[in-house]
Amino acid sequence: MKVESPKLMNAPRGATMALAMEMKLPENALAQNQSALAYLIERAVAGDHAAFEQIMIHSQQRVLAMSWRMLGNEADARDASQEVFLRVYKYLKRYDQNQDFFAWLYRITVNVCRDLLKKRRHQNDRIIPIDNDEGLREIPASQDDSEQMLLSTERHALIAQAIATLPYKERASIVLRDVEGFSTEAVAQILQSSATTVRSQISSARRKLRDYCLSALTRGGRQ
Amino acid sequence: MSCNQIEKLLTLYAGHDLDERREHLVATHLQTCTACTAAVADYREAREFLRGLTPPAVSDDVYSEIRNSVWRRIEAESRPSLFQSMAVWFRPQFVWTTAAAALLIMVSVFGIYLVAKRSSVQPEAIAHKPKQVIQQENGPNERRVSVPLIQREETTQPRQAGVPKRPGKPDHLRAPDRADSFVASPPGTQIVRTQSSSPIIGRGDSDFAVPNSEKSLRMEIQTKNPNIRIIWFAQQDPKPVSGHAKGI
Repeated sequence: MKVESPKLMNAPRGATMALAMEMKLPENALAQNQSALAYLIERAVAGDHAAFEQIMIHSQQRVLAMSWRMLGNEADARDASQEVFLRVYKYLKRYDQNQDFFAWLYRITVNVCRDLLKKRRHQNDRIIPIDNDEGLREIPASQDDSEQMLLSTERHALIAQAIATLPYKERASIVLRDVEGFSTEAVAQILQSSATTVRSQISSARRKLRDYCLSALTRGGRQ
Repeated sequence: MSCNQIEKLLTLYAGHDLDERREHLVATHLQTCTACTAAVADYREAREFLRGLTPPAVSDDVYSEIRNSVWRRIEAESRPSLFQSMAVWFRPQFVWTTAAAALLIMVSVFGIYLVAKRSSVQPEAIAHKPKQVIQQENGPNERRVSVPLIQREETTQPRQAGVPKRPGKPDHLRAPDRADSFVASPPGTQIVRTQSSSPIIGRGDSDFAVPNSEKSLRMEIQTKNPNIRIIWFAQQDPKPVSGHAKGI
């Protein structure tokens, strides 16, 4: 079976590509446009590669960002993103249209990152720290002055190191809850766990983050 | 509630993860406790830091490369391996088809084997069969007899099989057991002279002394070597006659 990337195709495939162009919505627009997303998924399940390409385009930022937060470096995040989309392509037929597509996507991402971390730990038995410098580059310019003060270089690096020390389940829970903004119940669904367990993990993670930051700031103050 | 009891709830309170009843309890406690209020502020601050932990800026080329890699992997993984191709034949819906095909192949192979075996025997026998096998030359009792020539290599029967063995004939008088020799000794044949265009078996222009005995048997065999011809005499009387080979 010859599979062609829609980008690599020289000529548009009639209605299929017309649909792809028509569906080319702004980034993350599919999250709000559920009917368009459902249509793309339906076409992708039917074998429409252009539709799957559009799904990738509209979810690649989320997947890469989540992978980066879970794995801590860009190279692994890219590998994880590839694996995530490969699994999405394989198992898209199993996706239940009644559930949130992005929750399903995050579940795959979390599982892929977990597998990748296991593999990395076999190769190098330590937790991979987040690339601090990379995280510092992305301070949103739209935030007000008080937030920019808080997101100072040192403290941002500190939180990056702190999150890298968390156990995987706690890291996944707190990233999904506090960064991605899912509800506790949604996080429990993504992690295939109970809401009580997720609350416990979130509570533990927040306490560890605060303690890590306080101890680091204390050490810094002494020096 | 005391601070120790409230402290366990502060982390969840900072993220609005408590139910209404517990959230109200914590809020009431925070109005009178500055330490717990400061702790909640720390948790919320850390939470805000976490939200600001955004990944590095990635160009569109990176995303394109990721997507192209995905398509390449999809293409690579969609190619069935040899094992997968063979495994399809053993699916339940294809078992009978596979079995029938295997049986057909076996029957075909067996048939081809039989045909090949038969065709490999006949051409050899035809190639070495003399055009004129027997020419009787002596006396009024001479008669034409077709002498069967059996190539020894292609039969499992012993030499002179099917021919009744004359009683009392010693074994050392029989023709030598050679691969390119032939046997011709039907019962009742007096004199036999073989002629053939074959380079192996006797030539028609041969001229040999023939014993006058009516009961003698003569057979000429031309070997592969044109300079060697085997002439075999035999008598039916119980008295042994010395056989010999004569080179020409």
